Amino acid sequence: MKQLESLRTFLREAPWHFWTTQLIAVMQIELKKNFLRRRSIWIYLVALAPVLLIGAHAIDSPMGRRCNIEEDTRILAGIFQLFYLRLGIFFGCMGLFTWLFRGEIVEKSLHYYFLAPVRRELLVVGKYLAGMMTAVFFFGLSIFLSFALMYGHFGPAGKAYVFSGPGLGQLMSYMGVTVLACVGYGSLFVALSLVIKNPILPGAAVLVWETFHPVFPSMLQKLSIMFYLRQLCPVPLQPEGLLALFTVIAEPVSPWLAVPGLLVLSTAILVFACMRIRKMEISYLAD
Amino acid sequence: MTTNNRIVFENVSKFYGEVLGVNRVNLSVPSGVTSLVGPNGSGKTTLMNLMTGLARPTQGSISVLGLSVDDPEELFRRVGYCTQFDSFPKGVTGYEFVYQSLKLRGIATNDAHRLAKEAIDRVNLWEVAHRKVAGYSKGMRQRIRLAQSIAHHPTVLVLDEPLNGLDPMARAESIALFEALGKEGLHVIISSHVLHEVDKISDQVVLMSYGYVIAEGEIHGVRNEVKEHPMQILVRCSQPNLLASRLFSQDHVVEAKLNHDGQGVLVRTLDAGEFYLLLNRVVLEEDIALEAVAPADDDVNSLYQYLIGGGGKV
Amino acid sequence: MAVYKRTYKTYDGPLTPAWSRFGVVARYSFSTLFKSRIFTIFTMLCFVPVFFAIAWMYVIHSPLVQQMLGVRMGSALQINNQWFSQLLWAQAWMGFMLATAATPGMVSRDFANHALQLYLCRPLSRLEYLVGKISVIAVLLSAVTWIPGLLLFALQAQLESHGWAWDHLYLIGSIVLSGWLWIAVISLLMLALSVWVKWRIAATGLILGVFFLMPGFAEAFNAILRTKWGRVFNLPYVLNLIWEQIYRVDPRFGHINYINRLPMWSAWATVLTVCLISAWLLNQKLKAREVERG
Repeated sequence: MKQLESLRTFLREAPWHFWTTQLIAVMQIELKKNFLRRRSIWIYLVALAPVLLIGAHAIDSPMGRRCNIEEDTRILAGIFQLFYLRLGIFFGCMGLFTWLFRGEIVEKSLHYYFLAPVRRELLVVGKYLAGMMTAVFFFGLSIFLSFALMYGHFGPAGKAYVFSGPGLGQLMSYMGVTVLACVGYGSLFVALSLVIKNPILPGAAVLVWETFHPVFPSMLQKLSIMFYLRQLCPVPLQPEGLLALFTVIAEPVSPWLAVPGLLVLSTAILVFACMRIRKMEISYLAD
Repeated sequence: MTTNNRIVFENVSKFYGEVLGVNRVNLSVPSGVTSLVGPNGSGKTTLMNLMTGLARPTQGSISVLGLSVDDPEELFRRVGYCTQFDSFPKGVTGYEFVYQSLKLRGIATNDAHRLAKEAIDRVNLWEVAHRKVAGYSKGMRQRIRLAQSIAHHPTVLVLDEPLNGLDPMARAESIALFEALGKEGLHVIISSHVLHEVDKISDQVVLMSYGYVIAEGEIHGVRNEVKEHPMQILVRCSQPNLLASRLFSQDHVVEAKLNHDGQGVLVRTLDAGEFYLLLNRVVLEEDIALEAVAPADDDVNSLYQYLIGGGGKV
Repeated sequence: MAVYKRTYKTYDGPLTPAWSRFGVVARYSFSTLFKSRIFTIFTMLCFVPVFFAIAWMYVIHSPLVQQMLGVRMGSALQINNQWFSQLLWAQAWMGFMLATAATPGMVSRDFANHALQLYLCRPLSRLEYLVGKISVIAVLLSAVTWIPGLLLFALQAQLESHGWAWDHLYLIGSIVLSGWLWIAVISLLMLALSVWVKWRIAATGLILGVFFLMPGFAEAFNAILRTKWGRVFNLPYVLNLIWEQIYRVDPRFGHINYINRLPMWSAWATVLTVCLISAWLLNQKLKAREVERG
C-alpha cells in the first residue's frame, strides 16, 4: 500500500513536461540519424525490393491480363508473411534497433548521452520510439505501395476489390501487423543490443526460434513474436508441404488477446532494457 | 566541513574484472582548480569516470556537491565532463554538437542557440562552428568538446587531458580559461601530463600511482610532507659564496651549490622553516643584498618526481 | 666539431622465408578466436553430428547392438552417397555459423584499429594478408566438413564389406570437392562483405542477410513474376544444387524440389559470379588507407 502511494506521488510530481522536451530532443537526433545516414540505404533497399518486383509485375500484366485477383491476393499474403514479416521487417529491425546503442558504442559517442541530464530509461524509450517510427515508415510505406501496385494494375476490378470488397480491411490489417512487428522486434533487438556485444548472432538464433516456434509446446509458442503476428494476418497461407509446418495456425488466438499479448511481451522486454541501461558503464573496446 | 560543496570519494574501489582501476580512494575535493597527476594507467580517467557515473564503483560511494552519481538528471545539470574520447556523433557540425547537447538538457531553443554560441566563442571556434567536426584538426576537436562541456554553465567541470593536441597558443588560452573558471568558484578537475602548465593554475593536486592516491592537497602542503627529499630553495643575492659558507655549517642544510652564473646559491635543506630563520639572520649580519628567494622544487613536477619517480613520462 | 656516435644498427639476423609469413596473420587470428570461450565451445559443438554419424555407423554394422536396441535397419537408413551428402550439408552449415562468428571480427578489427596499415607496411602483400585470413576460415571449415567426411568414409569402408569402398570411391572426390567449394565461396564472400562494411556487427548481419534474406527475396521474385530464375539470388539453393550433383544424388530424392529446378550451368555461373564479385570487392576495398569523412 505504501509502495503504491509512493508510486502515485512519483507519477503526480514527476516533471512530465521536462521529460517530454528531452524525449523529443532524443527522437529528433535519432530520427535524423536513422533516415539520413548512409548505413540506412540497405533498409531502403530491403523495404523497396518487393515494391519493385510488384511494379514489374504490374507493367508485365497491365489490367490483370495474365493474372487474377484471387491469385495475386494469395501471392501478396505469402510475400507479406514469408518475406516482410519473417525476413524484411526482422532484418530491418535487427539493423535499425541494434544500431541505436551498439552503433553509438562502436562510434564511441554514447557517453555524450550519458553525460546529459537525461534519465537513461528516457534514452531507451526515445531511441526506441525513433527506431520504431523509422521502421514503421519504411515498411509501412513499402507495404502500402506493394498493395497499391498489386491491385492498381487490375483497374476497375482492383478498385472494386479494395473499396467495395475485403481489400481495404486487408490493407489495414497488414499495416497494423507491420506496426506490431516493429514494436515487437524493435523491443527485442534494443534489449539484445544492451546485453550482448555482437547481437547479430543471437539475432540469428531468434530467427530460428521465430521460424520454428510452431513446433514447440503451446506455452513456449507464446514467447514468440511471430506467434501473435501470424494470428493477425488477414489472408491465411495455403498449407503446402513442409511450409505448412510454419503457416498453419494450430492454436488460434483472438486478436483481442494477440494484440495485448504482443504489447505486454514487448513492454516486458523494454522494461528489462531499461533496467540494463541503468547499470551500463562506458567501456569502448574495439568492436 | 559540509560535503554539499565538495566532491567526495569514500573508500572507493573500481576493478575491471581482475584489473585494478582505483583502490580505496578517499578524497574530498573543494572548489578551485584540482590537478589529477600520475603516469598512464594510474587511474586518473577511472576516477573521473567514477565521479561522472560513466563507471560504477565496485565498492564505496561518491557524491558530487552532495548529489549521487546515480541521479543523472540532477548531477549533469551541474557537471560538465570533457572526456578524452576523441569521437563525435557522425556527421555533426561543431555548432550542432554543442546545440544538440543543450537541447538534450531540456533547454529552450532560443537559450540553447545563445548558450551554444557563447560557449563556442569562449573557445575561439566560432569561425569554423558550422563546419563538420570530422574535418576539424585535433586541437579544434579538443576545443569543441571543451565548449560542449562548459556550454550549460556547470559548477563542476571535469577535464580529462584537456591540453592534448593543442598548439602552444590554444594551450595558453585554455589554461587561462581554466584559471578564470576556477576563480569564478567552479570545481575544475584537470588531468594532464603537462605538469609545468597545470602547475601554474592548480590550487590542489591529487597524485596517483597504480590506482592509489599517494598524495593530495595544496601543492605547498604536500611538498612539506615529503620529508625524505630535502627542500630546494634558490637564493639570488650579492654574496653567494659567503652565504653558502654560512649556510653549510648548519645541520639541516645538506647541500649548498653555487649557481653557474655566480649570482645565487641553490640550497637543499631538511627544515625549510629553520632555513628561512637562518637566512634572515645571515642576511642581516653579513649585509647581503637579497634579490630573490624561491622554492625550486615546490611544484607538481617535483612532487611527481619524488613520489612517483622518474619512470613516468612527463 | 660535433661527434656523432653511430650506435644504431639494423637487424641483420636470420629471417623466416617470405612465403610463410602469411602464417603470422593466421596464427594471431587463431589465437584471438580461441580466446573466446563461446567460440571454442561452439567449435566443439560442430563435431556433435559427426559423433552421431559414427554412432550410426556402429549401430548399422553391429547386429548385436541392433538386437539390444530392438531396431531393424531398413534400406532408408543405409549409408550411401545421399547419407554423406546430407551429413556434410549439415556440417557445412555448422561451418557457416562458425565462419560467420569468426570472419567479421577477424577483418573489421584490423580496419577499426588501423592495423591494416601496420600489416601492409611490413614486407607483407595484400595477397599474403588475404591468404592468411582465408587460411583461418579454410582450416576451420575443413575441420568440420571434408576432413571428418573423409574419416567417416574411411571408417565406413573399414566396417563395410563386399567392395563398398570400391563402388563409392567417387565419394572421396565428392567430399573433398564439395568441402573446398564451400570453403571458397564462404571465405571469399564473408571476407569481401566484412572488408566492405568494416563494422563487425554490420558485417555479421550482412552475411546472414545474404544467406537468409536473399532466398526470401528470390522466392518473392519467383512468386510475383511467375518464374524460376529468381533462385539465382538464392545462394544456399544453388550451392545445394551443385552439392547434390557432386554427390551424384538422384534429383528425385534430393533436398530440392525436382520440378522447376534451375539448370546446372546457371548454378555454377551464379557461384562463379559471387566469387568474382567477392574477389573484385576485396581488391577494391582491401587497401591500407584511412578515410575520414567530413
